[in-house]
Amino acid sequence: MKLETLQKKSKDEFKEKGFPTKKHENWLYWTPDTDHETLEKSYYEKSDTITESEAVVIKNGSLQSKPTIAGLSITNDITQCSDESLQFNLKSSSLSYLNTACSNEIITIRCSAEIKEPLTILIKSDHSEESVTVNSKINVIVEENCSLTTTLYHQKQGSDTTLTNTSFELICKDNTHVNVNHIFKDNASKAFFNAIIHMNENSNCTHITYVANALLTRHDTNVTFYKEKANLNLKGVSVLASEEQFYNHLTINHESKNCFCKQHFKTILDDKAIAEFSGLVYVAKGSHEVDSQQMNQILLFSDAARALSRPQLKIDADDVQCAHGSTIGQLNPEEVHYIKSRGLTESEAKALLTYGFAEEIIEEISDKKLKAELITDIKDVVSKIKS
Amino acid sequence: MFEIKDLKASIEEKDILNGISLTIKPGEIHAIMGPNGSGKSTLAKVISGHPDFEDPEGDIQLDGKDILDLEPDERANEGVFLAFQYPVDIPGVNNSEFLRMAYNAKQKYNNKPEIDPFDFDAMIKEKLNVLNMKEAFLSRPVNHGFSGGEKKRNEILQMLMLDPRVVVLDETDSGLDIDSLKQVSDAINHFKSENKMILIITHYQRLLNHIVPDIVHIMAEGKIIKSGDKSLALTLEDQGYDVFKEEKS
Repeated sequence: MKLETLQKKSKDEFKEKGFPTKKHENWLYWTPDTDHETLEKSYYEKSDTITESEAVVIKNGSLQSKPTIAGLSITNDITQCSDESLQFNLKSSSLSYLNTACSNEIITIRCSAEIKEPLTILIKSDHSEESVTVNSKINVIVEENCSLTTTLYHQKQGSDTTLTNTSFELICKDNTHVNVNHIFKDNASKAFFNAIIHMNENSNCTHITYVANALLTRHDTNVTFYKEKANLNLKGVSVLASEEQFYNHLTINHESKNCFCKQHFKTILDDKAIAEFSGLVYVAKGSHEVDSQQMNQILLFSDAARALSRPQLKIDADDVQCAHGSTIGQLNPEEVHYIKSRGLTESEAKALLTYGFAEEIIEEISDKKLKAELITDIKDVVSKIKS
Repeated sequence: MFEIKDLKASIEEKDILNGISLTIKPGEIHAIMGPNGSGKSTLAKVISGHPDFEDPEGDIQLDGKDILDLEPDERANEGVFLAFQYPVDIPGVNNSEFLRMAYNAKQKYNNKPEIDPFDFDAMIKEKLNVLNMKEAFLSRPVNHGFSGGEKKRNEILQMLMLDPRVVVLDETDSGLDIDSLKQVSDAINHFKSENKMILIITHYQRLLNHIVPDIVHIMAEGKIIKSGDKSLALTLEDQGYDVFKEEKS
């Protein structure tokens, strides 16, 4: 038996058994309750290599391979992607139109079941020639009463001059539970990302983005609430250093009453990095009892870093609860001193507090494997912050 | 021996400490009482190496070693511990992990190996029992979402784990209800031994009913204006500070 096979089998058995608890006779007097995180880390570190055979692989804009999962239809057949809700283009971004115009194919993932295992989607660009744009177009449709957790890794290989222009459209139909994570990291070229999210009745969605070690990233996200009782958590963490840039533009359209939307973004900036946030929450006339909360927080480690933050509200309805806010600041010296007074060095104290700043968002990730991966990644990234 | 000699400190050109001197011998408990603004918490901050007070004058020595020029983490690893009046939240870092990091920082400073996780687990559970705290406390982020009383008990848990030589308790009794005050006091008495030195900063006699000091100091305008035995705290409670201020002048 191959080691890989043995490990996969053991991984599945561990997943089945879980951690020991006091309910197990052999573990009556001591259980590793406080060591779960450490043990889990080793488990996930061992399994953090993405197995392409278990993932949807989209290379240079074309569907390359896909897993067979009951309840999931994954296709690049354009006749299969028709859905009256699809909009294909993000009006606020002309790059979205360019994407539709130039994409090789439209990849549609349709979920028509409660999918328990997280689905990994690898969006790869790999061109050796200079100055190529890779247009990838992905639609995810979660049918009524269905659920899906998916992580999209935006990966780049090959030339640093390759641009990626990706469009992602998500339709959460009635009574759905959806978790979507987008990982943008270790990218030495420019990446443009256009997202359209449709929220329908009683749909619940958590959408998290993570940006780190990425030269230039531009996100344009447009959310529309069409029906009542929809609930969206839109969150993101970005860690930027050197001369990295991240432009994050967000529009939330509340076109239906009685919906909830929380938007919370955190950015850590060092060196000469630049972060721009522009968020608009629009509540249409008659969309009463909407609760929409927007917060953008930036932690600055360098005088040369720049942060631009524009949280905005436009409300045409009565009886709503909306708030927006932004904070830009440095680590609190009292907090640094507190940790130092317990024996940790200044750099350790700052790394701990910086990780704590980002953790609030990472904590929301339901995919345990991804969460462990990002915890390790973010600890590594913040430990390198020089200031 | 913990010695403070003619300690002076100022902030934004305002003198706060005007020549504090005191000596705590191993096994002793000292208490400092004084009106608001007398410099008690500043003294605690200067002992811990707070960055607001960059160039304090005088000496602070632990067992003959000058620690005033050391960084706060070095002072901590030398054996100085301040239980903060307002402990700071550290979201995202659980108590157990933080304590283990702090414990291992001290081990590393003293060229000792990191503690075995199983030994650490056993040790922390023993300390939790001393404070009558539940294990769930360990998986919560440090001080985040804690009540005032929980924060103070967490400070004492850290003290028990790090096992310092010198402890400064800055108004540890504030925010504690009667039962919590008793538990915290019991834990401090449990910690007390012949090689520990404890400095209690408090406004009230009630803490000193539980932790009996060997020497009580009265502080005013950045100086110690009177020192005496435990009865001094009772006199102070009875007569107030003015009598002592007048006596000094």
